[in-house]
Amino acid sequence: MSTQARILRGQGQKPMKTTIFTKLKGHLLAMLALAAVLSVTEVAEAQVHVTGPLAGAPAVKKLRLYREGRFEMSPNVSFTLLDEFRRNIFFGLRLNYGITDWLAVGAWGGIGSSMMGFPINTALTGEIEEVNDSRDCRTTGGQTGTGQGTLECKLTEVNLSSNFPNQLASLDWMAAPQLTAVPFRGKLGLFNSVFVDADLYLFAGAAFVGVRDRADCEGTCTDDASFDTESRVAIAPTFGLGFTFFINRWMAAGAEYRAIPFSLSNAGFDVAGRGQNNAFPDGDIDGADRQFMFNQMLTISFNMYLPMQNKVSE
Amino acid sequence: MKHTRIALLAAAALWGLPAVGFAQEEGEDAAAAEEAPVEGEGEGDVPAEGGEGGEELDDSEFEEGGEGVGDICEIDPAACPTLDMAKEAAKPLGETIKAVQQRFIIKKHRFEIQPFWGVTLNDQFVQHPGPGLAANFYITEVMAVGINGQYFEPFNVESAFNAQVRRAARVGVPLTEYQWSAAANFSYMPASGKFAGFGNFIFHYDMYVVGGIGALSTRPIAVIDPDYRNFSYQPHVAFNVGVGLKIFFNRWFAAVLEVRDYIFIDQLENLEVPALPADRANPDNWLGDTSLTNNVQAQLGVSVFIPFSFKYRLPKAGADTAGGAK
Repeated sequence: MSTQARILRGQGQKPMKTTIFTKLKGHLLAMLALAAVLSVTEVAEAQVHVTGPLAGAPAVKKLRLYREGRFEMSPNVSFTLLDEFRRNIFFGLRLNYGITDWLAVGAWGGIGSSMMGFPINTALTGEIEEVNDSRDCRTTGGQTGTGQGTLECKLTEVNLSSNFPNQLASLDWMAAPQLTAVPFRGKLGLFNSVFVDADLYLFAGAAFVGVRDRADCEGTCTDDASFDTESRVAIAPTFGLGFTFFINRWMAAGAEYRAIPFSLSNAGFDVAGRGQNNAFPDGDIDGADRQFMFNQMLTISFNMYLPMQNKVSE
Repeated sequence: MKHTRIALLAAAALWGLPAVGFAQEEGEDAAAAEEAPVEGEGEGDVPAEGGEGGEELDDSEFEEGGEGVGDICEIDPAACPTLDMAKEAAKPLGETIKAVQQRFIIKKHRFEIQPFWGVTLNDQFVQHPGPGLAANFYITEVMAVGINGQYFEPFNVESAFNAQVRRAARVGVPLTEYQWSAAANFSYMPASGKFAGFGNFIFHYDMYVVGGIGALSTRPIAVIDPDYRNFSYQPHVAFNVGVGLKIFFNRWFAAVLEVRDYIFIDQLENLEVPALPADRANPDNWLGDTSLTNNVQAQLGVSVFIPFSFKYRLPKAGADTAGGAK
């Protein structure tokens, strides 16, 4: 029995009161606990509110709305990364329309250096070509190769033509409708003396890629003609992120990272199609020999925004 | 009754505790909101970043008896700033306002410990991931000296691409695996700034360049004549240059993303195999050309500043002046 109950009883109160109080005490404790929980909730809600003179003010006042209601035109250059046999440089254009300041709809597209007539091969391609030339496995210009019939030539006859760089895959063009979200807006200070507005954006969309890689062949994959490449269109997701640095109200510089993951036959090698998990060569060139690549690139751009005057938030 | 009192006290304590937390957070929010309104305000010539932390003065710092400039006036009247209030009041409202009243973090004379994980960006044949640790000491707010090291030995991964090229083209490409690296570095932070995320919260970041000199221990992987060749690790002098981005979660903890190129002259396996077994077994015939090698890494890690807290040189009215852990 509680002290309170004993006092009440000593004053001639009926014991029933004690029972009621005991019951009330349980309710009181429950109410207090509820109040405590509610107060925590209130505090959690209140944390997003600012009191004092800034109460009700937006997080950012007079924000320059660089994108809302404006078109963005961005000529750009993209450089592929981690290329195994051939590098690609894309000369492209990005068009966006800012539905809001944080959401834009648009497209990016470009033409690759291989399609423009200057393929850029890696050092590995050069090494393979050098070894391949020294083997002299194939008949070229009516002259029989001196290495024909050797073990090395037999083992590579499905994989190496007389001109190795000609069998390499290239990315000829790309077009990617995409959505761009701009979750982060801010400033960048350089050397504590130059200050520019900046944003960090994310984008995602679907990419249509003009790919040129070795054509499928079955049973005739040692013929010279089988090493010819053919064009196809690969459809792949594309996504990435980038920074924009605003030079003034209508000009900006940008840098972005993009990935376009899809499969292609990078060197035209027969690498799969037989054995456990199709992990061994089968003498044919087909879809199994196209390997999944992440196809990454870095882009630098010069952005222009129209109309030239931007809105400013309240 | 006794239990009721205890319950009431407990409830009051529960009530009060979040209120204290709220008060702290509110201060933070208020501070953030103080900074935020100048985002994008005015024309492009509005400086966004203050000079030295706490250089900016406000009215409260001139109040008598306060902790601000009033104290300076008492100690050294000559150094006491004087203001013509009439002139000050007549100034146009569009006067330049510094976007950051105080630096979010003071780095000068603090240590930075930076555990990270590195991944190779430019080697399709052998990946060299591995854990690393860097330690820096900030000489100034923007310059630091430090050391870093990385351990690769159990993490080298020969890629499937390497086997495919060997099998398809019958071309042996000399491969190298790494054991460890260590370097002394100098860092400089030319760029810093802040971002508002979703228009809701603000975080600070800085960008830095880093360069240094050290050693990288490597050895060739025997692929040309593995029956006879067995290489041991040898250290090579390695230079490094890199750029990094540091995003601050609070005043002592940050996430770090860095791209660094470790440049060294690597000793490759000899591509030629002697005819005689005795010559093949002779280690003098195992090594071939040297090659200038760039090991470009992406390093993702966290940064812990020690000591955890710091004091601003001058206070900022209405804001927390101790950069403590939060």
